[in-house]
Order: sequence, then C-alpha cells, then structure tokens
Amino acid sequence: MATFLFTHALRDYLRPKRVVTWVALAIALFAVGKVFMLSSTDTTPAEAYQLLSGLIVFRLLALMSAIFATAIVSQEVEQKTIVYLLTRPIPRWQMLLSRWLAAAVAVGGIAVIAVLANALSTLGGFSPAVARDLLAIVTGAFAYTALFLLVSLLLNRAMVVCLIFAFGWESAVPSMQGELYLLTINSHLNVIAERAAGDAQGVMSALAGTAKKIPLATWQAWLALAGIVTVCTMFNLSWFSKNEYVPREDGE
Amino acid sequence: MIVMDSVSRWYGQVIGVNDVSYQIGPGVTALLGMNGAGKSTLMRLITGQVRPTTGSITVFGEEPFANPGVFERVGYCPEIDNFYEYMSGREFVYTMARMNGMNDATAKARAGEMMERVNMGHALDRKIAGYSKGMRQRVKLAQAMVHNPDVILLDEPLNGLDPVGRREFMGYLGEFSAQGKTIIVSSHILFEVEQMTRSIMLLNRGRLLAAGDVRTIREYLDRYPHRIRIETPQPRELASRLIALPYVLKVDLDEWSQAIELQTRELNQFYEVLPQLVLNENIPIRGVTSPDNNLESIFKYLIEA
Repeated sequence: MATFLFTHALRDYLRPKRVVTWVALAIALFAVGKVFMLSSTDTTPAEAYQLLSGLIVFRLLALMSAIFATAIVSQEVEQKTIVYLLTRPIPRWQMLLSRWLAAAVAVGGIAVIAVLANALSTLGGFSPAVARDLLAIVTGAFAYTALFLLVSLLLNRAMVVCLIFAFGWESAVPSMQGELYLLTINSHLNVIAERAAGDAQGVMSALAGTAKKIPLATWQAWLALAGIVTVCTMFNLSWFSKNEYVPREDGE
Repeated sequence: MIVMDSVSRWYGQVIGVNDVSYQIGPGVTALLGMNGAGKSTLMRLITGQVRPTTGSITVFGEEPFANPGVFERVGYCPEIDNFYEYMSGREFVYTMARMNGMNDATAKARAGEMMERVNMGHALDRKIAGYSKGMRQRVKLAQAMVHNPDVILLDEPLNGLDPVGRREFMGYLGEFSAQGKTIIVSSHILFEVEQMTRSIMLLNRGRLLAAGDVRTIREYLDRYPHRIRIETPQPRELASRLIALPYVLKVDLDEWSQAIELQTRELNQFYEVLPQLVLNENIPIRGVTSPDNNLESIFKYLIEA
C-alpha cells in the first residue's frame, strides 16, 4: 500500500504539466553557466560553479520545496480532492509519509538536474564538489520539504511564509553575526557541500549564502539536518493524524 | 450499525449538526433538508472526516474519525464535483480501489467492472476533465462502490443526472438495499427522496426535525389539518354536505376547475364517511388527492411547527 501511495503521489508530482517549468529552469542553468563563464574571465570554473550553485541551484531547491511541500496537503484541501484520500482505509500517517517522500524525491530529482547542468556548463564535467553538492541537494530536499510541510499544516498562508523563509531568511541569516546561522538549513547544506566561504566576494557571495565561514563540522551539519527532518516529520505525521482537513468553505 | 448519540458539530460560531440522536440500519435512509440543514456535515461525521464537537457517533461500534477499520466498510460519494482531472475515469476508480487495499489485478478488474456497471463503459479511458456532469456523478458512484462496502453514503447523488440516469440510479439503490447494505442518501429535492425510500431523517438548521417512516412522521402531524382535494362536477353540493361534518374544518370551492379543497384533523374518519356520503347523495367524484401527500408538505408543516 505504501509503495502504491508513493508511486501514485510521485506520478502526480512529476506530471509533465507540473514539472516542465522546473526542468526547463534547471536546464536553462546550463546556458546561464556558459554566459557567466564567457562574461567573467577572472573567475575560475570552480568558483563559477560554486557561485551559481549557491545563487541559483540551492535557491531553486528551496523554491521547489516550498511549492511541492505545500501541495502535499493544502492543494488537496483546496481542490477538495482530500475527501477521496481521507475516506480510504489507510492510516493517515502512512498517507502523509508516502506523499512527503514522493514530494522530496521529485524536488531532489529536479534539483539534481540543475546541479548537473551547472557542473556541465561551468566545470565541463563531474568533480568531487559536484558529488558533495548532489549529496547536499538531496538532503536539502528532504529537510526543506519536511519543514515546509509542517508550515503548511499549521498555517493557512503557508506559501508566503515558506517563500519568505526560502529567499529572505535563508539568504540573509547565514551572513549575519552570531550563531543565527544555526537556524537555517542552507548553512548546514553549505557545510555538507564543503563550500568554501567568501570565494566569490561581496553581494553575490552573501546572496549565495557563502559570505561567512560556518564553524560547524560536517557531522554536526548532518546531525542538525537529521534532527530537523526527524522532528518535523514526527510532528507532521502526528498532526495530520489528529486534525481535520475539510475544504475551507465547507467548514464554515 | 450507525449510532448517533446527541451529536453536535460546530464550525466556529456556526452549528452544522445540533444534538442529533438516531440509529441507522440496513436499507435506504434519506437525509432530507434544505441547503445548510446539516446533511453534508452529518455525512462527514459518519465518514470520519470530522469529529463531533459533543456527543458520539459510531459506525459498526467504532468511532469513524480517521479509522481505517471503518473506512474499509464505508463507501462515500461526496457532493463535490472535484476530481483528479488529469486521470481517466477508469484510472481514478482504479486508484481508489488500490487505496482500498486491492492488488493491481483485482483493482483493474474491479474498476472496469464498476465503470461498466454505472454505464461508463464507453468512456473508460477518457480524461475526467472532458466528462459531462452526469458522467462525473457516475464515476463518483463507481468509486464509492468499488470496494463493495456495507455502508454507502451518497451526498446529493442525483445532481446532474438526466432522467435515464436517475432511473438507473434508483435501480442501483434497490439492488444495494436488497443486498442488505445500509444506504444513506441526502437530497433537498423532496420528490426524489419519495421515490428512493420511505425512511427519512428530516433536518433543519442542524436539528433532526423528524425521523422514521414517512407514514410515522405523518402521525406526528395529526394536530395539523390535512388537506384533501376532491374533483367533482357538483362542487357546491358536495361542499355543503362536507362542511356539516364535525371534523371538517374548512372547505374551499374551486368552481372553475370543478373541485373543492377541504381541511380535516380526522383523516381516517373522513375517508370512512366519504364513500357513503357520496353514494347517498349521488354526487359523482372524479378524483381524490391530497396536496399533503408528499414530503414537501410534511417538511413545511414540521418547520412551521
């Protein structure tokens, strides 16, 4: 049953109509990388890769996570199709877990295309940095979607909150003084990706979330992200199992 | 089978269902009421989508909210017209069958069978987005029945069905009922309900106004006058005889259509006396009907009461 739920949700998330824009964006990164390399002669391929990765790929990851994660439950409620899911003999936790995994895999899969497009255009192939990025991006897909799912279960206007988090909090906070970076996912992903701080200078570096050296060991970053995924998931499963999900106008 | 004990359900400041106690067993039971009466809320309570705010509801002895054990035995055809539009009808019913625990082969076979059963065999693989309203209703019905449930809840199922579809649907209800299933149908169109069942739950503003057999409900109404319309070529003569009866409260003459309409509190006595009176006075009668002989009148009476 869990397998069917997962594949059913994955098929839904990977419908051409739904992913065409994202895949196009990911592939367009190849062209962006080429243009960047041609226009910026004093930047090494490794620096260009890292900058584009931080600036675009990991932002794309957060954006996709926000959109896919909020769709897991909210979209079903808004489209009123939630009734078909909640009146089936499936434990709610199983339903949510399968759908969340499918969303995370879909997001991770598309983000992997973006990583590879970036690598091909800037580095011209594979490298250890790309491997680390792939690892970070897949981890990030699970962390972001788990967190945004939690937000969507708690708040009505979850998308706005998620986008503010993805583009405001995640970009600004890692560069701030003190230890606020601990409250971001991006900082931990940068540690896993072993991204060097400040290679790309100034505003670009700040936007890429690499302006400041993150004083964390890799294992600490793994632990923190595992904690985020576990806590958010446990909360999500418990919350979804106990609460009612009736289309809004029907519940008034 | 379905037991409601002082069930109330509030949506914030708005009450959906108010202190309803009733038991529903096998056969067809109709939830009758106007829009906002609480029919859909009651269905959501029975199908475990929402919890009662106060009171309790059990289906097969278990609380239905988020209870897979109950859902295995319940089929629900919601009022909403929303689907996974990108799916075909067969795919949708197959998906629902899989979610009901069937394996791939069984679900495929069952989905095809149910689509044929609701006369959708000609459009099995067309996208739901291209279905007419009536076709969508049929698909909803198919997904509700696909796992052969013991209890079937149908929320406004006749919406969008053409006369042929309605007749077919009545046929399905008869079949399910004959199989000993519990069928709960909601409607705000009274003549439809009359054709489906005599067992009704009459809801108004969340309250259960009356429940049981239509005839039983009629007994509640004895203190309200019943109206009887009699068609005769001699309306004046008949009116003068009938107004003399002690239990006839009022007689209205309709000379243009050659009929009278009277009101009485003693329906049985009146019907006992009428044939003798007509024979004795030799007044021809073309027809006797009761404008109250439908659920709409009962509904009106009860609400006004």
